Amino acid sequence: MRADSLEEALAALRRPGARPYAGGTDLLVRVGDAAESGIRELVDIKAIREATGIERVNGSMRIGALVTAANIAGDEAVLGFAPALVEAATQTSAPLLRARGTVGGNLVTRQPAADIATALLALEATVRVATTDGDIRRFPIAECPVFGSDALEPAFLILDVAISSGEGSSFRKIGARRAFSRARAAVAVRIRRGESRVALAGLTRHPFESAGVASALDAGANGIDALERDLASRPPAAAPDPVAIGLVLELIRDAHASAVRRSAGASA
Amino acid sequence: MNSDQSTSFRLNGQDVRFDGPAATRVLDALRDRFGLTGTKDGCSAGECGACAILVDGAPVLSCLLLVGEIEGRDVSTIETREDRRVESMRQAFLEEGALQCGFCTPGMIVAASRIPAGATEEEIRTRLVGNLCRCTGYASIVRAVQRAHRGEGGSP
Repeated sequence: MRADSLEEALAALRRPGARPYAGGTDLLVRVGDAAESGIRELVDIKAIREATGIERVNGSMRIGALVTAANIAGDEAVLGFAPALVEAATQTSAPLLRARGTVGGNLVTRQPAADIATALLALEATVRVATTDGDIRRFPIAECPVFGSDALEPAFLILDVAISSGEGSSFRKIGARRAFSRARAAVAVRIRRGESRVALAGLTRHPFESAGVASALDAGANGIDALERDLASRPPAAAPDPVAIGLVLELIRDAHASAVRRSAGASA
Repeated sequence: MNSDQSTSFRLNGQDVRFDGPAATRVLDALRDRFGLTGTKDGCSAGECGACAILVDGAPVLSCLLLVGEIEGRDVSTIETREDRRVESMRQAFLEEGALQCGFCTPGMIVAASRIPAGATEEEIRTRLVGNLCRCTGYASIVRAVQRAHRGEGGSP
């Protein structure tokens, strides 16, 4: 069914086996066997106004959950405000998938190295969520399912994300191929007032924020000790093809250097 | 989207109606109900591009699209004779011999038909990353796109 309003969508999502359906790039791949996936009903949420749009709100930028990777990749305002996000949206998947895949979808996906989600983590985004009880609440982005958290209620709808200025930010990924590859390693860095914030993906089961690597970078080190501690303390990535740590450090260094340049340019 | 209903849309220039669940994949509706088997199911996961069609002139993966979403829309498949760009791309692929088994070809032609003329080789390849070909190695495909762009694709 197509939900024509937020209220209609939330009412539908209370039904067992009902799932929100937007781009379908994740959901429609999993829906095949209803017995296995538990999905019995698709609720088309693409008409929900509250989840659309990209806009500046005071010092922040609000990005609707229905905004696609292609929308972000082509958006000049996002490019200036948070280049890491545009880089992630441009480098993720392939053209026809980017035209459908949404920000909201990337925050609930089971893909282990979700590119847009990783950039949003470094950008310290918050996410606004409507619960099926009718509440609207704001959570830190790290509490989204893609990061392995179940803090959001079982039945909910992401409406939008909010980011504050991230002009000094960058995103880099490496995969098996130059394009259309899941990240075997991805780094997003944001620098603000000389302080780094780093998100890493592809190396562990879920993307995560590394305070240790960020501190090391701010101290002028390469972060290898912090990185090794992070990897040792987290569930490993499911794919058995670990990237050499030297390559990961190079990726971190490149993303950090790019963020530094952009940060300097922004305050010039 | 689990209830039977009726969806009306335009298919290759004709007004048609699909009677059946709105949650039916467009790919399945095209092949099984309308007998348009040019569009292929290569992966059912949006990862190969063989199912690409045009909806309101834009390329879309039909394995990740449900019939309920194309109500009132203009749908074109590889079988269309109504789209000048698909026609000239199809002709260019034939002249260049840009296929072997032909399985990826319908989706490839549809996707390629939307690459703007003047695209560099790099841009052509970038636009087609989502269309996988196991046979040609892509070189002849790139040449076909360039041929179409040069206007040597012949007339529809």
